[in-house]
Amino acid sequence: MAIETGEETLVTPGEVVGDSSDLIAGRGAYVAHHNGKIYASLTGRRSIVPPLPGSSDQKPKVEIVGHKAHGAVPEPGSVVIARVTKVMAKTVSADIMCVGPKAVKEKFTGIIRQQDVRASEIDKVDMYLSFRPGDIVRAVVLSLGDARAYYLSTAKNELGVVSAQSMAGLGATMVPISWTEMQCPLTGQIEQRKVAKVN
Amino acid sequence: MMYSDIGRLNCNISYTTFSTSIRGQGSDNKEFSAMLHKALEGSIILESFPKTTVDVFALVLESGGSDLPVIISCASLALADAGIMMYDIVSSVSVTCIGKNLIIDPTSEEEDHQDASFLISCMPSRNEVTQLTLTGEWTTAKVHEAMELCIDACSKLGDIMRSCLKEAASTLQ
Repeated sequence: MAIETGEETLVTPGEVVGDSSDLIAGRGAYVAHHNGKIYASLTGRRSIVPPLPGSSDQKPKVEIVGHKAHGAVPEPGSVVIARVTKVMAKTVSADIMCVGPKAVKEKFTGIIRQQDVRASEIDKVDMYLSFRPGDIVRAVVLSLGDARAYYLSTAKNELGVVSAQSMAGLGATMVPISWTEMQCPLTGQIEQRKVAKVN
Repeated sequence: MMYSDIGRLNCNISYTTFSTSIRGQGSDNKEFSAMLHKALEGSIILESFPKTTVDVFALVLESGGSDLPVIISCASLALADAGIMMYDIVSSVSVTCIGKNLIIDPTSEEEDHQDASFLISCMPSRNEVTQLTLTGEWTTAKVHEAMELCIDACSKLGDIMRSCLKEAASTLQ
């Protein structure tokens, strides 16, 4: 079968887009085990991606790019920006607002458990001295979690509270002064947080 | 909602009060909903979206017969258009037997006088049947004939569905 690299055609689910003997099924395509053919699983444009130089498999990859853009969905490993909604003794609830650089369309909730707040002394974490409702947190998605929420972790230097307002109620955004403290620029009051290192 | 490693499919078919010739019969149709679910679930790659539910709601505004096959085909088109990962589109066709005659895509009047009916939902390019329903009295020869008729109609319908999808996708871009 001839493979025209870069050629783009519209395909619909169930259409044969190639054979697994000379192509790899990428996103939006799947291999049928009964005949080894590659079928499309999405409506969209078919494109053939040449193999990366130096990779072990030298077959080009066939991909289907969907014709409609979907909202971002968190998946394990992705970095998210979330707003803390509730702080409890062992967990913190947060609403996920962005996945990577993209804003989410639907509501996703996440939970940061006590053992996932920081990397060291994980059993001595006081949740009330790490987060407060309203804080903007950068976190990584650990897993799909339970039925209600994703499990998030802030156990890295660059993860944690990136923006917080002071308790004084003036709406002032606090300035980080150490790994565990943020200070209100108006009142000078110091509050405890799990501060993220922002570049 | 329960946690699930694979996606879930939720189907519901309801009728408006003015959809049938006798007014006031509009309501949820549990049996049709279950059949729609059965017809579609084999075509969707549920593993591709864990912890997620796909809702398919069909509201029949005007019923002129062959409701279920039309709903199944439409729902499959809607899923493909929405960008849900699926193995193949599902096309569905029904045949009614009146006396010795086989009638494809029966109207409401023909369905009212039917002796037997046959409904098939299949994935045309994979040549797989996702659902098959037989009601009434059938002879083996008649079933064969109805099956051939339906499979042929399904593949033709599938081609039309594909060209519709492509048209919708190309006008969007």
